[in-house]
Amino acid sequence: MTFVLAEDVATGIEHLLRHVGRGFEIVDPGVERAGSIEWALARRSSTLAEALVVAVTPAGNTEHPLVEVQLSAGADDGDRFRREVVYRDVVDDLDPVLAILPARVDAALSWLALLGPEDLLIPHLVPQQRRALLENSAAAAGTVLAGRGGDEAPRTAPPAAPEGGVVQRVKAKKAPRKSAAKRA
Amino acid sequence: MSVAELATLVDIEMLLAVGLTPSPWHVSTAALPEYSGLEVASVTGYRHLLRYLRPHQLGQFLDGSPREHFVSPTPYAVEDSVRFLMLPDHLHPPRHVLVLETAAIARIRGPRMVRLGLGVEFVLPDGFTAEALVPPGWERELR
Repeated sequence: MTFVLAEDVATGIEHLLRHVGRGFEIVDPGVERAGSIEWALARRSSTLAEALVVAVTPAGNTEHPLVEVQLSAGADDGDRFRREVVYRDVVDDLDPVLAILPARVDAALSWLALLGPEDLLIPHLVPQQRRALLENSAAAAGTVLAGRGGDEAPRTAPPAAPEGGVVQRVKAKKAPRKSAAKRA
Repeated sequence: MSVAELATLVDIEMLLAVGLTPSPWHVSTAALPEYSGLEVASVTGYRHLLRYLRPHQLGQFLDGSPREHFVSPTPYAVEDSVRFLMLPDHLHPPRHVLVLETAAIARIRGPRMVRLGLGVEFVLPDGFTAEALVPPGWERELR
């Protein structure tokens, strides 16, 4: 079963989120992740990165096509984060959802406005301090990949790429596995 | 610490150790650094990448797919994938993955932390070809 979201629904969700304002910017709109189509808004301050996410996911079957709509909001300070589901419903028609979504988005924004760093509950698996240590170790060992493009470079600046290649490695490169080499 | 947390932790530390620093979740795909699949594979020990699938997506990508896909290096049990990949926790969680040969993928952007989540993801802007599917070339069921 191929799930195709009606264009007017997708446009409606994107239009709603684009007009939230208050410093929020839409990030990667309408992308499909693991079967859900997502729209995300993000806002960054000196202490927090905040997000609003609308996700639409098929939840029925061919005979009874349903979709789940979920609005979640959260914030992150680099060490801890918190995310809450603000609204969720399983429906067979998304038009009524589009009608009530603005009020739900407003509720989510009100909740985010009250959220401070002290409210963040879930620790990231790699604390910032250890992350910095590992990044510095990688840079010192010369095992840093130099990526191309992108508007935001990795936080550890990679060393200059060697002539004729972009991979800067000290260790001997492992020979490609037979299957990988054959395909590559 | 759960098995899923441990698996994620060692994956993130592996990526950090080879200079593939996960970007924060709020960085857009266009702003992520880009590599060839061979470049990523060569520093990650030819680690496979996993494309999680909801039930309605079974069979859709067995010939490859040229559109954008999100993948993770970390295998999760069904009950963990929703939490670690921060997916809507509804009726049908991802129950299958496609296992991809990283070296056979043309373009990879990332890695990036999953949005307000614990896991890490890569983006394949041009998707993947059928040649990138690890034999037997069909979806593996997660149990």
